Amino acid sequence: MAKRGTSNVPLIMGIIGAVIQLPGAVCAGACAAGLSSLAETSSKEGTQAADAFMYIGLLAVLLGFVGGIMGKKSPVLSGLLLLGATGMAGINLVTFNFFSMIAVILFLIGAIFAFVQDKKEITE
Amino acid sequence: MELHPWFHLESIPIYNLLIGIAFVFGILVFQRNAQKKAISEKETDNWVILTGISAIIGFMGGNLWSSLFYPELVGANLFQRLMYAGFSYLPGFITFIVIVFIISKIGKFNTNYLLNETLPSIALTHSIGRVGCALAGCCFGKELESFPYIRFPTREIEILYGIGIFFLFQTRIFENRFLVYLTSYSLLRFFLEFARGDNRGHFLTDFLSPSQEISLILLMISFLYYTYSHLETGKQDKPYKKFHLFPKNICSNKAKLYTWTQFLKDTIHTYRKAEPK
Repeated sequence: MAKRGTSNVPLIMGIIGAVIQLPGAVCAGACAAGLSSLAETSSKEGTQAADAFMYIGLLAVLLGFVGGIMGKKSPVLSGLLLLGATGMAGINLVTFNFFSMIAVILFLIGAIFAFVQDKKEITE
Repeated sequence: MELHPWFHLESIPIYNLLIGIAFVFGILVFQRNAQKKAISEKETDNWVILTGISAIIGFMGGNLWSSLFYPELVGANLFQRLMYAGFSYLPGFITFIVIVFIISKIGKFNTNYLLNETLPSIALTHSIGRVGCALAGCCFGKELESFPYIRFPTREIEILYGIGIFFLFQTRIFENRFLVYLTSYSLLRFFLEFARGDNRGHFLTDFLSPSQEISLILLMISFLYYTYSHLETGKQDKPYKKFHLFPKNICSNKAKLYTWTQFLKDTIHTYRKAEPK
């Protein structure tokens, strides 16, 4: 028999983490572009780096959000998605991004709760 | 970009935070309502995921549509769109409804029931989202001529409207919520747009804002639906069969609904019978 989670913590952490990570992703793009210009790399490389960091950040948003809403339906999958989001947002930390740091903490708490929450059998 | 927040909280992404809180509350309300109506946990979980995915696509749609309203953003990249276009409510709402409809048809959910039950959450989410607007400073009204430095409370009116309609949905209105929401919000938004002071963009006409144009289209849709559903009452040859687009007390896959297709078939049949020979 399949089991479902009982805690709302993954939902809350996943969604709040995702909405905080959204400006984090945009900031990461801007910061990466800024850091590239400081390192005197060509503008094309700088733009590519900025885009890459932004897309990684947006992927973290997506994973965090989906992981959050799956917190009750499928706790293990939710935990894995939130861990993935933690990793992706963690990559954005390279750009010294404050929003991503908060998102990493929230995603990690959500992932831990998704794994350790009480589970019960699904009622039809 | 011109902003007029209630108070300045520049270091916090307050709009995003409030949208997140709104979304969490929306889901919790949805789960609580489902529990009260004894809908199974499995079905509730599936609905939460379905509406959640639709909401993500709705947000994307809101951003994409709103970038079409501003000529300077046509052809802009994702970064510029996220920074400057924002997330318009009406385009996002329409995208959300369309995606819910498509996914629920594929997943064989009861679309009518699902939308009817989602409406209180949408109203609450919208209301809290507008608090986010007020704290971030966007969506402000025009300055009043008689009272300089005081702006028309467009955001505050929408917050009150959202809270009001949420409580009505929770306590009084249990059927046809979609029609009620569509009609009332389109009307309110149409008139509120005249008092908005921010850049409204351009869509189809020069004299109406994009949101007014969308509101008018939504109003027409709700009016057409209302008229068609009441044509049924004029039938003499068969007893009145009330058409519920969003019926109450019907669990998915169990009850036989008087569907759109049946409704249209009956309407066409009535017209054919009425034609002079």
